[in-house]
Amino acid sequence: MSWIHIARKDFADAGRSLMLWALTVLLILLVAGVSSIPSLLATDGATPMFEDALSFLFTPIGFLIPIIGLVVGYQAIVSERESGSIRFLLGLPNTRRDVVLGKVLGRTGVVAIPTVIGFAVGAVVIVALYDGFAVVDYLGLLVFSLLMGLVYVAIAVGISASVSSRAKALAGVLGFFVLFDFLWEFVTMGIYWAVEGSLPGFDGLPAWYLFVLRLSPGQSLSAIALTLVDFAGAGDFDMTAAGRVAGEVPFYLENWFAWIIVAMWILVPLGIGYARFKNATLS
Amino acid sequence: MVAIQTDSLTRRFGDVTAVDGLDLEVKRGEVYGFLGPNGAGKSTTINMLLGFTPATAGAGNVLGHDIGRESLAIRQSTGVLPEDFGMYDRLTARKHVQFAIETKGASDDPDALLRRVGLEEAIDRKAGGFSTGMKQRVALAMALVGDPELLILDEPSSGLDPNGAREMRQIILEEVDRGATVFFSSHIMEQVEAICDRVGIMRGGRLVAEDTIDALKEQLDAESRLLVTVDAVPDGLLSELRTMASVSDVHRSGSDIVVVLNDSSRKAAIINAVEEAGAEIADITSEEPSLEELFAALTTSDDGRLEDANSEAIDA
Repeated sequence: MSWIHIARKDFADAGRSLMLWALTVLLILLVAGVSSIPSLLATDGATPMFEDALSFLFTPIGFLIPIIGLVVGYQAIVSERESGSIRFLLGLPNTRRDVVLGKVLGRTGVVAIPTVIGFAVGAVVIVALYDGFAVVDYLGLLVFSLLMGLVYVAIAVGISASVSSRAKALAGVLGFFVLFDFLWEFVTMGIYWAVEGSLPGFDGLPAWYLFVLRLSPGQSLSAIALTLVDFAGAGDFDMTAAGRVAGEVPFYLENWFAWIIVAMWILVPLGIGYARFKNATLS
Repeated sequence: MVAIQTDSLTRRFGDVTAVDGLDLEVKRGEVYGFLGPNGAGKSTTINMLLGFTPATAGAGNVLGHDIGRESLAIRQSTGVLPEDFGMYDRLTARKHVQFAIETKGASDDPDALLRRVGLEEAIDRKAGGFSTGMKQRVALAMALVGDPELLILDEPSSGLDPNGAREMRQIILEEVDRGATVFFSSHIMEQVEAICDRVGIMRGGRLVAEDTIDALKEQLDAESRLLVTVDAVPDGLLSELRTMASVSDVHRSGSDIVVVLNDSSRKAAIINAVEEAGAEIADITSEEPSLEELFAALTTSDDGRLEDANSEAIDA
């Protein structure tokens, strides 16, 4: 159980850094600030509703939380190897698994606490500016944000456990972000083009294509978000795989399967990171 | 009872053999000084004992636990002061010790431990601003948590001023009185002389000497040196001296004749022989080499014996 002590110490250490405060300010600006934009831009006669604010919030959250998670997590273990404080951690009766688990937990806290504060402040602003505040949807978006933070922290800590220098860890998280959060749709489009000889449309798509698309953490998390939050406009056209696939929806495109993909994005990077860290020589 | 035992323990890094078939035995309750110059394999050995670095070959156990399979049990009963450690810059000295107490499930008072290592004024200060010596004291306080059966201290005096080093030795002696075993590494011989029951000297990954301090000193008596400064060295004197009883080496260093004897009572006979050969003696210096010199000889010379590499030190 010593991973709890590691998590607590890690969070205490981070909590005394500027990072935690900067993230809290950032998330307050993000949730409270961004959600007020539809109200500020509204012209007379068209009063935006709560759902509009929520929809407007979703995209920047889905863009920023991954970056925050990766930045918070990528130094978690490798910086202790570089500074030599890992000798304290592992000179004490901690296993390397305790270190990996404790770090994921501690760093997730560093992302989660500012997120919760941001949402709390944001709720006040949203209630003041919009009609029809729906607690369940708002909490759904918070849960989605926290889950996304956990996934990206786990990926970053896995990378941090796998490598022997901060520079390599930075290159790892940067490469990951570019591939899975920036290029992934183009990658899958390229595969589609290579197989089908044309570019994919919006619907009537083969199941394998939608599955490959969904394999990125961002896409699988978005699929989960659609089940947690009732976004404005979501009813106009079916964003889920059911609306885009040609024919029957296979089980691996159903929403419950997105949870499995998300779970894999937590477990696989941590598993690889732990396996490499376990065999690493700390000299 | 044995606190640390290794059996042909070996660690290779690529082509380099850092530790080469090490057989070590540290008894419970003793203070064992693990000596050697930097790069001799001391830290690699300690890293293997603590599970930081897996062994390439051989085996070892600490307090009866296998170093490969039961590392956690070893570290539960051992206090570690690591080498080249870094601290959590934003955490206070107390937080560091508190973390060690929580991890070990011990019930120590962090303030009392920090007072014991002489850091009472810095208990609530963040470690980021600490000097090397202060960091070393925090690390020692962390090592003392839970009254460990064994203390493994890697270069404990590094960064400490002479006063701090003396306090460190005092604490080591207190721990031994309590019943702990202390295994510590050093590259400075004089630190170990006062407190060690036994020393092992590492060189090139191998243990080149292992004995009590007294036994090592006896070995030194056998290698005392005589330095005779003469106006001119007569022909044939050196070879004549070489044939004399108890002389293990003779050589010339400028106008000095250096004679290495393995029986210091033979000095008068040597001086007589030099005079009889017709040389005028300007000065005579007799050297009983210090432990420091034995250490230097064991760890730098080709055959591990005292020889002319040290003649300059004698002149001084």
